[in-house]
Amino acid sequence: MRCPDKDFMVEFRSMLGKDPSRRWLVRLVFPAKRGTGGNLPFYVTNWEDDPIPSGVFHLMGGQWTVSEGLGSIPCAAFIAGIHETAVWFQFPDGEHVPGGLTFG
Amino acid sequence: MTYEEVLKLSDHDLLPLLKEGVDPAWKRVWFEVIEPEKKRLRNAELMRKWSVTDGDLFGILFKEMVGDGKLAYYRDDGGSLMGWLRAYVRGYITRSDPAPHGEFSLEGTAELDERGEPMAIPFHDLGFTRNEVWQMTHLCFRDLWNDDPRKAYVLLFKTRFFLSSREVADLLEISSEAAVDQIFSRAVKDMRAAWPRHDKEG
Repeated sequence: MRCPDKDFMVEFRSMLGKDPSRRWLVRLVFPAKRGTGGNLPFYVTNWEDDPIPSGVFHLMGGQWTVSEGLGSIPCAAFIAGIHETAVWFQFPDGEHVPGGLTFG
Repeated sequence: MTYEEVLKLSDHDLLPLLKEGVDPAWKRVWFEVIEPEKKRLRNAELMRKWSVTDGDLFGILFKEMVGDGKLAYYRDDGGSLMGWLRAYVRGYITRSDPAPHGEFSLEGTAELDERGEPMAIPFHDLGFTRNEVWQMTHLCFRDLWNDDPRKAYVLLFKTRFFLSSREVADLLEISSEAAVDQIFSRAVKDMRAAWPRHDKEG
């Protein structure tokens, strides 16, 4: 993997449910010129745009631990799981809330 | 910005946050627009009758105001922003009747012109059409993701971030620019194919 010369990020959002406390937003960043050996950082926030302190983000066939609203995915794992469709955020109480990549 | 801070904002200051889809601002809409409207006796009756949920109301309001840019129609001349949104929600509930013409077809209930022929029914409501297009795009994009996320990434990178085929190839470790173009072409084709399928589902 070689990222372009500019930073950009994609967003994954939870499905709109009735319970706003279970909404999540993950911003996955592709840092400029990041190579295969690096990581792609992501930020997890809640309804109020505050960081979700902990949880597990399921993407690209892997499970990525969130600490203080931050996590990261190794570039190699991103490429290896490029065909995996499952997207979930697992809250600390164990509830899995599905989501998906947004088109904008 | 926190929800508590948003509560203190004037309509004028709140408006740009709503346009940007900022979550605390929309949380305020939930509590000051959706919640009170769904509790109104008439609205509650109609929502129950036509199976409209508060989540539907919020979803459609967000889509139309942010997705379709309808917040631009709010004049910001001192009138209550929340009152304006509440009026919009009430209108949506009123128009939610799935069978507005009872047992009869649309054609059967159309007004007759001077020759006794049914008058044309106006199908081209621009706001409705744009909203439909926005929703359909997301449905088709979800299908694309479920088929193969790589196609969805390629489509997103090329159309939303304007990355070149070379950049996408490097990013996703695809063998060549030609291969990226081929995946992109298939993604567009799949989106086109999904469209009538969802259109048919209604």
